[in-house]
Amino acid sequence: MWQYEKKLQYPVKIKNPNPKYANIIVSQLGGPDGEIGASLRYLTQRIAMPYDKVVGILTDVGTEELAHFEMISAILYQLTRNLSYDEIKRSGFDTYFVDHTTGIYPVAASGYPYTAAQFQSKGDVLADLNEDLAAEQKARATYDNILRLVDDPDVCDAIKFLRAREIIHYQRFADALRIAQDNMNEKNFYGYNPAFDK
Amino acid sequence: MLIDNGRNRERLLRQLQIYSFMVYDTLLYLDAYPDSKEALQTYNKYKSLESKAMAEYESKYGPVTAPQVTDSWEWTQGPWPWQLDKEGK
Repeated sequence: MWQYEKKLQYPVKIKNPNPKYANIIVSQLGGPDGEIGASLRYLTQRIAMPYDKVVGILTDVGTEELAHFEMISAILYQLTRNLSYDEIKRSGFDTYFVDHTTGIYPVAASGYPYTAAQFQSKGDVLADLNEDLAAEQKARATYDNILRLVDDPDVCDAIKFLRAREIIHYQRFADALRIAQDNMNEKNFYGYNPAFDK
Repeated sequence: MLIDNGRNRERLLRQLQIYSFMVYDTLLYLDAYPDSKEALQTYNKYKSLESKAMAEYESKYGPVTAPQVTDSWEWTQGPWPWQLDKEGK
């Protein structure tokens, strides 16, 4: 089970609303490399994972991703407060606004809604862990792109924290892959799936 | 509930977030390196600091996790973590 803690993992305090930035950053809520996809990827993959330590890493990273989902939600909420109709129209936020007002909804910046088709839970140890490594790197690249497009220090501060966490998660999944390989038959990593073949 | 200008609350919350972060990051490391004595020491140190900071924060500003045995229900009282105060802080 999970228990909620009524605090953000890292502070989000944005003084200046900016719907244009919200349009970009929403991709880390529901886009292809976003936080909810990351969380669901790890929390589903962990169930069939045969190695206890790797289950632990998937569980704890998957849990932290939910805290990141909350941080991105806070960023979006604070960027879209007190908007005038004119700001909504001029910023391009109108296409989100028409469907969701200023409610928080997981979509990509392109407008495509979140879908589980964005990730895999293959039930294959090497396939899943390699996907996880790629996922962390792709999320880091998205945060890099956000930092290229956003120059508000309040926003960048929280985004830089999230970017740094992608790097740590990449390192832990590299550990997970090593742990899995240490447990697998080294003569034939690729002809055998220890999550299914007994 | 203690009334102040919000600065003390923010300071205590920030302290709690720092300790919680150290606990969580070390926990992730220990998942992969459970035999690291150094990591265990770090975990224990920050877990204890986190507990103290959590108790102090909760005694002044209400529950962070679901309340212990209580005679008044403060859990739903704001601000929730994403909310800013009236001045936008």
